[in-house]
Amino acid sequence: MGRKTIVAINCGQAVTQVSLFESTGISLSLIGQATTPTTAGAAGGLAVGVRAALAVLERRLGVRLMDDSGLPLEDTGPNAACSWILTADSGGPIRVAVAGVIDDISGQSAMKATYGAGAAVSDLLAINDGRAYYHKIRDLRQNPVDMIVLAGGVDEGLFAGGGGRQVVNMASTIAQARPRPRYDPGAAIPLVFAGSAEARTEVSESLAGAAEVVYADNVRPDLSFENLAGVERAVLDVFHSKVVPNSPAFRSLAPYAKQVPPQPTGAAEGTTLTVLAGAWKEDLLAVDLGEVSTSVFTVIDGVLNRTGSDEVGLNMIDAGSVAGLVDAAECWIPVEMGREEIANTYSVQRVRPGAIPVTWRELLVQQAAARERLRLALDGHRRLVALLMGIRRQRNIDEVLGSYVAVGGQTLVDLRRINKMVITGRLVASATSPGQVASMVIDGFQPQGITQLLYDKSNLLPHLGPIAELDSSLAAQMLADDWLTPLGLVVAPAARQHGQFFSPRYGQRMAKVRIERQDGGEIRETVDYGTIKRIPLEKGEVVRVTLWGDRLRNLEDGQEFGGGGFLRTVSGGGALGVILDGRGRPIMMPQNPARRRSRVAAWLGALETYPEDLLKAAVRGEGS
Amino acid sequence: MELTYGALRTMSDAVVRRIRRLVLSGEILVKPGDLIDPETVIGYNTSEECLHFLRLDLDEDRLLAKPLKQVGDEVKRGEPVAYYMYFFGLGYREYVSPVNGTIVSLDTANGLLGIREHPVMVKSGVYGKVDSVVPGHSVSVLSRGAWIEGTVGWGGQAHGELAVLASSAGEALDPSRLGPHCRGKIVVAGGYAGERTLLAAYRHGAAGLVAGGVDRLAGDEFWALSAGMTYEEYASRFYSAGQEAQVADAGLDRVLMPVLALDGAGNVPMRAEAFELLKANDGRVACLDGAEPGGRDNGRPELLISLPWEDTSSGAVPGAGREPEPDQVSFGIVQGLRVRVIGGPYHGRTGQVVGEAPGEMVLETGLHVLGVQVALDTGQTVGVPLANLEAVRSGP
Repeated sequence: MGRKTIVAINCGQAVTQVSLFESTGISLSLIGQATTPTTAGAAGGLAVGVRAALAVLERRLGVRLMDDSGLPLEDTGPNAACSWILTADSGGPIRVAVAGVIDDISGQSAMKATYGAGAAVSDLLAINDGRAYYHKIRDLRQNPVDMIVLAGGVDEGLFAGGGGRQVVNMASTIAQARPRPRYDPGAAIPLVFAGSAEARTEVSESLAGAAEVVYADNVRPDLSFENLAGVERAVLDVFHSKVVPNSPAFRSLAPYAKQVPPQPTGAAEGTTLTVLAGAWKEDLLAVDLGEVSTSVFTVIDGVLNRTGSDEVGLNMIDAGSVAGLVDAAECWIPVEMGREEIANTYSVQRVRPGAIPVTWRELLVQQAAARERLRLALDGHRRLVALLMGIRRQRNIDEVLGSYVAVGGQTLVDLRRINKMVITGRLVASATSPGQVASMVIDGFQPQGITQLLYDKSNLLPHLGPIAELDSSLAAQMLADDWLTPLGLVVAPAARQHGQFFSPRYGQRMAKVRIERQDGGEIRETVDYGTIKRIPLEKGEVVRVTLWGDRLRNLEDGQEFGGGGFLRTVSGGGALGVILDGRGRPIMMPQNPARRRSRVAAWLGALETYPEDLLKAAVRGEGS
Repeated sequence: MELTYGALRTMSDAVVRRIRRLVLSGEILVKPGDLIDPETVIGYNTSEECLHFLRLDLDEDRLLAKPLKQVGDEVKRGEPVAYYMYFFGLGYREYVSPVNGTIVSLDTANGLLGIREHPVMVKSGVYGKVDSVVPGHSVSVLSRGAWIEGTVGWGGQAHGELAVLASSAGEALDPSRLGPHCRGKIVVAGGYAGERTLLAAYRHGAAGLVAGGVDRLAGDEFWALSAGMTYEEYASRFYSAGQEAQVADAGLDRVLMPVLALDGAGNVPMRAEAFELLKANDGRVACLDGAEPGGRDNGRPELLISLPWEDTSSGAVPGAGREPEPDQVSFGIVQGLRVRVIGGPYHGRTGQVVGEAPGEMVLETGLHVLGVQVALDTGQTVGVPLANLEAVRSGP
C-alpha cells in the first residue's frame, strides 16, 4: 500500500496547530507539528496563520506542503497521496443563540443538540427566562451570532385546545429583533427551526423577511423523547453552506478544505471520543481545556454529550465572576499571594490567551484558575446531561408525601461510573510536569472510585476524529498505537455523604488498597483522610488495584456496605503510578490560610507538581 | 516567519470602520455618504416593544393607590405617578416612573399601570462618513483620526472632551485633582488608576476614564457598582446631576462610566507614545469604547479621537481615501520590530527585537519554548518567548 500523507489543521481561538501524519496503511505516525497565532481578524483571514504554521513545518521537516502562492499541494512526494483536514475551534466557527419555549424542556434539548454539533451557545431565550420581551430583543441584537436554533412544541396536537402559541410568539420576538449574522451584517440570519411540525407554517410566516428558515426534525417530538441528530446535522449544514463561504475569516481557508469539509473542533473531538469509548466499551469523560474555552464531553452508554463554556458562552466568565474565580483559585495556590495579584495575572492570561506563563507564580495562578474552570464546566455539563424534564408521570407515595421529588433533571453524569478521563487542550500542553495536569483534573473534577487518567500531550484529539472518518482502518490503528499517554490511576474512595459513614478526622483510614504488580509482587496501602499518596510504577507497567472500605458506599450502585466491603478492581497505570486520594468529596480545605496553603502544598508535593523549594515556603508559612 | 499574537496600535492618523447598532428595533436616520459628527443622531429605538409596568396596591378588586397621572400623560424618569397612603396617613408609598414615557394603560382590576418608553436616540459618538446602512438595525461609519487601542475595558461606550490631567505617562493621578471640571469629559488619569480615582471621577460625572493600568478587581467592582446604579440612586448618593443629560440621551436606566486600561490590569505604566498622542489631542472630542477584549463582538477596547471627515478627506491631508485598518493584525517577528512584553517580570515593557532568528529558551518553569532577545526601552536586553510578544504599531 502506498504512503499517504495527512496534513491536519486546527484553527484554535488563540493558536493554530498544524500536524503532519504519515500512513502506510498499517501504521499512522505523527511526523511533526507546528503552531502559530490564530489570525482571525487579519486581512487575509485564518489562512495567514495556517500558512505561517505550514511554513514553519516545511522548514523544520524539509518537506514541501504548499506551492509558491501558499496553496496546498495535493502530493508531497513521489507516489504520495496527500489529504488535508481542517478543524476550527468552538468559539470561532459557529456561534448560536438558542430559543425554546421552556428553558428546561425544548430549550435544553436544543442546546444539547447545538453543543453536539460543536457550536458555542451564546444565549438561551425562553418564555420563562425572566427577561422582558424587549430585553430579549436587545440581547439578540447586541450579541451577534451566526445562526439561531428555535425549538418548541410537540409534533402532534400542538394547537389542540387553543394552546401551543408560545413557539410562534418566540418566532415573532426573533422577527422583531431582526438579528443579523455575525459573518455578514447585511444578510438575513439563518434560523434552524426544530420545533413542532404543525407550527412550521406559522413560524415561517412570522419570520418572513427577518430570517432564512431551515427546517430540522423536532428536537422534542414528544415530551418523553429527544431527537438531537436532526438539529446537529442542520447546524453543520448551515455552517458549511452559509458561514464558511461568507465569513471573511473562513473564506480564505477554502483551498485547505477541498477534500473534507471543515469541522468544528468540538464535533471532531466528539467523533474521536465516540470511537475510543466504543473500543474501550466503557463510559468516559473528557475535557478540552483551552486558553479561553473549556469543553466537557461524556460518552455514557454509547451516547456522546458535549458542553462548552467560553468567553461568548452562557457560562462566560464576566467581570462579576472574575472575583469569584479569583477567590476559588486562591484556595489552590500554595504560596502567599494577594487577590489583586491573582486577578491581575489572570486578567493578562484572559486578554492574551496565547501568552505562556513565564514565572512559577503565573503558572500557579493559571493552573489554580483552571481547577475552578474545570469545576464550573463539569457543573454545567451535569446540569445539561440530565433526565428529560417535562415528562408527565405517575408520582409514587414518597413524592406525594413530599419526602422525595423526581420530575426529571437528575444528572446522568455519575463520576463513580466513569472509569476513564481523557485530558486535552492547549492549557494542559503548557504544563511542565504530568503531576500538574493530573492535579488540575483531580482537583477540578474530583473523580470518584478508581479512574484512569489519560493525557493527549500533543493535542491530537481534534485531528483524529476526521482522520477516522477519512479512513476507518486508521481509527483502529490510532487506538492500537497508544496516542494517549496514561497519567495515572486515581483511587478516590466514594463521596463523603453528609451525616453518614465517618467523621472527617485528618489521617483516619478510609479504605485499604491492594496493588498487584505485573512481576507478581503486591503492595498493600491505606487511603487516609485528608492526604494524597502516590505509588510510583515502572514505565508502561499496568497493575491491578483492589479497594476495600470499612464504612464506604458501594461504587457500583450506591448501596452502603458493612465492614470490609469489597468495592472494585481496576487495571491501569501511568507516569504517576497509582494516586491514592483520601480527601473525600467534596474536598474540604482548612479555613486558616496558612494551614490551607500548607495542606495544598502537601497535596501538590505528593504529585511532584512544583519544585520542592517553592512548596516548602508554604509549609514554613504555617509554622510562622 | 513566526508571527506575533496581535498588535497594540497607537496611530495618530488612522481610518477605521465602526458599527453603531440600535439597541432595539427602530429607525435609522442617516444614509450612506452622510457626514456625521459625535452628536449626530443616527437613529431612534422605537418604543413599540418598550412597555414598563408598575403594579399598584389593590384590595380585592379596589385600587388602593391613588394615581397622580392619567392615561395619555407624559412622565419623566423618577417622577411619581401614584401614591398609597395607609394607616391614617402614617404609612406612605410612592410609585415612580422608571423611564421617560407616556402612560398608556391603567387597569384598575389588577393594578397594572403601563408606561411606554419614549423613543431613544442613538448618537454616533464620532466624526465620520456613513459607509453603509442596514435598515432598522445598524450603521457602518468610516472615521479618521487618532486611534489608541487598549488592553482591558469596562462599561460600554461614551464620548466627550478629552481632559489630560496627568502630567506624565507614569503618574498615578491623585483623586483630589478630580472635581466638577471633569463633568462630561474623558479623563486621562496617567499611569495607574486605583479604586479611589475611579470613584472620584464617577462622582464628579466624568464621561469616561483612561489610564495605563487599572487593577482588575477594582475595575470589576467599579463596573458592578455602576451597572447597578440607577439614575435616582446616583443622584441621591452623590448629590450631583453630573450625568443627567448623558443618561437621558442614551436612554439608559443606569449611570455608567466606561473605563479603559491602555496597557493592562494592575500597575502597568502607560506606553509613552499613547500618552504623547493623548496630550497632543487634549481638549478634542474622543469616543471611548470599554469593550471586554475578545468578547461577544470580538472587539477590543479603544479610544478614538476622530476628525471632521470633510477635513480629512480633502486633498490637504495625505492618504485620504485609504482602506480602513483591519480589526486585528499579526506581524512577522523580525529584527527591529517594536514589541511589547506580555506577562513575566517585564510585563507591559516595550522594546525592540534584536538578534537573529528565534531560538529555543528554557523558562523558569522548565518549559522549552521559542524566544527572541528584546532590547527594552529601559536599556536591558532580555529573552522573551515569542508567544509573549505583541507588536506595537505607532505613527500615522
